[in-house]
Amino acid sequence: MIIPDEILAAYVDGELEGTERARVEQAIAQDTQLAQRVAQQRALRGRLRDAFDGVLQEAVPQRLAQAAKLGAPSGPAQVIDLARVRAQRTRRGNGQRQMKVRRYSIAASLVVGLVVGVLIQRLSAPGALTEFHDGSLLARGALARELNEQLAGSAPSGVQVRIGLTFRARSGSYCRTFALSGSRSLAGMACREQEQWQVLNLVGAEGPGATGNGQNLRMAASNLPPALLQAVNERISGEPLNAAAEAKARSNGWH
Amino acid sequence: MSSPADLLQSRIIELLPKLRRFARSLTRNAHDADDLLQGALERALTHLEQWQSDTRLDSWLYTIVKHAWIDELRSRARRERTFEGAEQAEAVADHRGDASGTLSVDQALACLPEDQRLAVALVLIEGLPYKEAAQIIGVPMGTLTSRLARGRQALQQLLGPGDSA
Repeated sequence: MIIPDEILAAYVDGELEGTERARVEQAIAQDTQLAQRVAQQRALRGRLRDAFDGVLQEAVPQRLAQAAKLGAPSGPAQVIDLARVRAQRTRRGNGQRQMKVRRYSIAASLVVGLVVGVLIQRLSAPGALTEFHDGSLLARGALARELNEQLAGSAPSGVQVRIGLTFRARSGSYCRTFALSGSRSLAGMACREQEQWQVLNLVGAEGPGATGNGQNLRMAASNLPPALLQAVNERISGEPLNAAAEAKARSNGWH
Repeated sequence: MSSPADLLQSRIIELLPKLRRFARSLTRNAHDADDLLQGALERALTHLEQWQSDTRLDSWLYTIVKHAWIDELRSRARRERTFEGAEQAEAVADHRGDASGTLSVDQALACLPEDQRLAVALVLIEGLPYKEAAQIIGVPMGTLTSRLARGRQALQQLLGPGDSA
């Protein structure tokens, strides 16, 4: 019986099943030349694997184990739960007259554990990325625009805001994580509430003195800090959106 | 704690030895391989949302390593065109010249065209099914099997009879 090379290869590669496999096995049993070809193919596989299997026994270098960690920042990151801060604020009263005072107290609570200068600057500078409104921190400017428009992984280099995960919260609204690049890195999560992006979490890393510039940059550009991941896990319903679902949610205006 | 993210992370860590082997078979240099994999992991974690949980995590990661390698080859090609294109071409020609079954596996693999080497690495070294390998490379099954066949034939020739195994 004539067995073409590709069928023999498929047999050696474990791709044949049932009757096809039985047919080849029968042919091999009756034909020593065929059996020899199979042995040669098996030997080739064996030689290739022998040449590279040593890698499997080697210890994985630390830098790779580190790179594989989801959002492993080199410096400790702290999560700021804005809902908690807001609750504290509510207990302090909510008259319009107190707005200004409240605003500073929230800002003051926020920056605990954060790089003070950056956040104050970001929160209050003209053209800032966020604005307090009725006790909520809302995305503004480039942050609001990117949360509306940017699809994950599509940001051109040099953009200030990078979108990470998009998912549906258990409440049904869409949430997105983002990273802000700048002199220091901040990452956060915003959810769509009443036609606005409400910033619910912000995570900051320690200043460059503690972690070094390159590592801060990496955190901003790639990984989700663990504290933020935890915030996502607490809120998420199901899986994060894939690229198609993300694009669809955007075209539906995040409703 | 075993949130989905933790689970995913431990699965990625489990796959690291195999991913290193794959990167090693593509680059054929231990240091380059780890650099390649590190870059690929960073890419993967930035685009974690693109992994669909109903597809094999290993296939998705292999695909990212492959993309990273192709990018690396392109930038190498650009550099070589400027600096040392001629030397490189000669080195390959030399290997082909003494193709009499005396080459090491490493040298033999180096002689294969990139598309055949990818097919060989995924199926013969990583042991993936044809279907997965074709998806990772991004070609139909028929293309994969013909690349694999040509790669095998070339390796048999370059390495000589397989009785040394």
